[in-house]
Amino acid sequence: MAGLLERLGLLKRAGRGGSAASARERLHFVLLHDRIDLSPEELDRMKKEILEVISRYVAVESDRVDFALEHRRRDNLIVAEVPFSKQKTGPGQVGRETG
Amino acid sequence: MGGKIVTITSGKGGVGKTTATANIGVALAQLGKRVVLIDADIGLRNLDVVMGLENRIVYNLVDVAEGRCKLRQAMIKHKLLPDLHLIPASQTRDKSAVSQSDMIQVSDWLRPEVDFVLIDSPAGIERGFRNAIAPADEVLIVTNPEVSAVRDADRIIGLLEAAGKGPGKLVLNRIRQDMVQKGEMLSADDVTDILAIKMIGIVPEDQFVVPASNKGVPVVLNEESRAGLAYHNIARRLNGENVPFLPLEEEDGFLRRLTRLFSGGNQLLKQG
Repeated sequence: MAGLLERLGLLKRAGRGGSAASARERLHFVLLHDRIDLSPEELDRMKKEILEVISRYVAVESDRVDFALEHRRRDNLIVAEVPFSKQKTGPGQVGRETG
Repeated sequence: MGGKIVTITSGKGGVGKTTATANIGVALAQLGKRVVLIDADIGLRNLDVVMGLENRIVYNLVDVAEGRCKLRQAMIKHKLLPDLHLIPASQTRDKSAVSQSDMIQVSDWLRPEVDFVLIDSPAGIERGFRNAIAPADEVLIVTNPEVSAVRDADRIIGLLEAAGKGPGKLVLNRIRQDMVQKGEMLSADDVTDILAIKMIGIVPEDQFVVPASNKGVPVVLNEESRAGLAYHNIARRLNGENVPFLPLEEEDGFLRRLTRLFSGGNQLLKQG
């Protein structure tokens, strides 16, 4: 009877809180790392190189940078959070400021 | 082009590859198809006992590969279904006794003679697996709703794609609808969402499966068995029919609960 009520939407589905939820979460994590197939060293190098490129254009607050692997809908994503400050005092902007 | 070569694999061991191969094979034969099952698990042969044909083996796949017998001589006819044959694995050799080109050669010989060749792959991702998928036109990946099995299935899907055999179709084995409803088991939707491939069958956990393998009579021959019905549906889908999934599953869950309600009531009456 509970099943029927559930199907009619009269009972709240208890499903979301059970151990299946942790199975889903853990699988997503494990599969993201399996699928990207990069060693921690390679991941580290990738992050450094990405930051280098961004730093050429803006000033990056490098201690607050965060890289994560995420699964959204059907996509595997590398999500980078890179806080930057307005001022860029590198050589690239010198010309514009003086010109 | 002739028959279709279908390899059944999983990555992880013990998820039901051999049971699936046996049952889908029997079900296809019941549909009137000419079927040959090949046990590609050299050194750990099992399909013969699941099929109840272990006492009829003379020659095996390695004998064919090494030219000690004709293909026909290694094909064991099923007791009830004359169009269903098994080519057993060797029990005394290892995976290196057969090559990918052997598997392709055997499959090419069979293609014009049959409608389906089902190859039971060994577990793992090494040579035995490579041999088993080499001749495949289609690959079925068996998994169950557990983290380890789903992870291994994902790895297999990746390897199939890299080998140009992907992505394959999924057989989700040993689902318990009551546990799914309580949120204590991954659902079919969860698994398809995570693996992002097509499902070809959902096989419920079923009390008739173990007795069937005890007796060497695949459960698909038991008309009471829900797992048997699920395998029958997989065979029909492999054969190109469009068989819906949901009504079967849900109706059954509800019917079972009703039956339990009534049998509980009877007991009360007896006691009273």
